Amino acid sequence: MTHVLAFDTATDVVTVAVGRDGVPVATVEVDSARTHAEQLVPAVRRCATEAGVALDRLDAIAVGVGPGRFTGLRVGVTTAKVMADALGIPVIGLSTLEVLAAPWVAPDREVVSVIDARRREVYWARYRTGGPTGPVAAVPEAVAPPAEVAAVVAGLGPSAWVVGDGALRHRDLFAATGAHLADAGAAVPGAAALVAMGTARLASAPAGSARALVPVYLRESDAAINWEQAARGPST
Amino acid sequence: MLVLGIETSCDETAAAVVEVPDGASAPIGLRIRSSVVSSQVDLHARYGGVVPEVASRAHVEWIVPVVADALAEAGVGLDRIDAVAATSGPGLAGALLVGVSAAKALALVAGVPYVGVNHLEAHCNAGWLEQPELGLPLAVLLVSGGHTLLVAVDAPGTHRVLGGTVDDAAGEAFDKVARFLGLGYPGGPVIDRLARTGDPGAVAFPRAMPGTLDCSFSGLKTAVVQHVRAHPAVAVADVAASFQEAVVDQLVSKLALAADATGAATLVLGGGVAANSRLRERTAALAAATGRAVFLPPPALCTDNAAMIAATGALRLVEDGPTPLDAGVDPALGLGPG
Ligand SMILES: [Zn+2]
Repeated sequence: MTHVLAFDTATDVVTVAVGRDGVPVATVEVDSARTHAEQLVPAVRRCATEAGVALDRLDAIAVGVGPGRFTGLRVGVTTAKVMADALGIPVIGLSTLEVLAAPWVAPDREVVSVIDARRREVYWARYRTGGPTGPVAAVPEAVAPPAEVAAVVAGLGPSAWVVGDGALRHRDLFAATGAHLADAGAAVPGAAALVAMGTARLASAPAGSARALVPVYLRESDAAINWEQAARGPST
Repeated sequence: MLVLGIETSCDETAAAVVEVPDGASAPIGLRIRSSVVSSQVDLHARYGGVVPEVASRAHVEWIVPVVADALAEAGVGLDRIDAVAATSGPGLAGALLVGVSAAKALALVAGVPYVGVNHLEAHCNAGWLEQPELGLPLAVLLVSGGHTLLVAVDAPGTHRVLGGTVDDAAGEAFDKVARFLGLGYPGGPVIDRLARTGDPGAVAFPRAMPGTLDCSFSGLKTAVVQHVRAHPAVAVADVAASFQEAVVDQLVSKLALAADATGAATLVLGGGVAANSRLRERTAALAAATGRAVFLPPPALCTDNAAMIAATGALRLVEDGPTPLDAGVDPALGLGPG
């Protein structure tokens, strides 16, 4: 039996699951905008207890590495890598956009994942079915204005699906594309996809070292942006 | 008892293991088994100050190896640790979250208590780790890039705030003036070095808030800017020396007032600015002139470190018990009575 602890903290919801052989046996979801650091570890403890799986019986930890809220990502990634290192087990970083898309991909459609990035932007990526461990990305993850993403979605035709809290935040824009809009239940990464993808990844690919795991920010920090602009000078 | 401490409130990623004698209820007799500090100072140098987002990202990258090094240097595994402490405030919110998340994760895996620690209280306790024979009461001057505080310690492990800064922290003033003078970052060490070749009496910069236990440095920074603009040919070393003298004068005169107000037997410095050679010199002179003892901790215990966090965590665990795992961080945490 393979036991995987999986969680994601990239959105306003903390999702935690303990899976056995790729299927969740316990799930905890906490709506916790801005309080991920308070919610995550108690949720992990509760989930492991409910699953009846002692932490030292875990085979791996899978964590959503974003993109998403920076502070949430840091809480999730730090917790995952510290726990994995302490337990001596692999840690698997999963794309939050990919986890969002996973339940929706099917042979006859393309799926676009959209996560709210604030500042009138969204993180997004486009997926097709086919990968052994999850959806296949058709375009790399990026950050863009929602209208730009909506234009891409409109070009995919009426069989396409749009998922994620970014799509709901800009509901009017995405509803106008003619694509299917997944409802609020699909706005945040789900436990089943986290567990399934984490378990599949553990079997298929060498897991990365806990030390090397970092969030996917997709944005430089403001200071770095400002500094580089200043260094380039006003003339360019 | 062995306590693992973690510190990530600003731009140092630090972890330490401290050995606490059974039943200790004061920060005395503790032994530092290891203390690892990974400084991000080079990372922030090009911005001329600590950038919160840059600091938070670096903490995520460094936390696992720094904790591993602290355990390895102490010669113990996580299974030997009896409690895990982390700074929960004050500090940069995003940076604090990394250390607190790491500490909770370790506490959960090890099945031991987590303890959230007040960074300022930890600074006040740092001196005991090096010198257990401090004569009470203490008048502690805590000066760094983030804090400027005068604290009375009437008994080990207690603290009473007597005064603080009304605007910038002392270290912040060093950074801002160094940046203005084009001297680089961090400002404290570069000004300290340059000031040795300058005349501290060259420019009569103001000493703010005389006769009170509070400090102010923003007017001083403005005075430096105005003076240099009015006298473009002035020697930078003279400006640096005169500025440093004004800061140190203000700090030492407040420490003298605090010592009188508390009947302090010993003067103690803490925080990164406590590494300033002129401040150490003048504090020692004040102690000698007023018949008091003085303790100037080694710079490694003055600057942010995790040994002081582990030590304070041990005390808090004995006095208050474990911190719940659903506790958060408090970036604006003050130093209350205790
Ligand atoms: Zn400090």
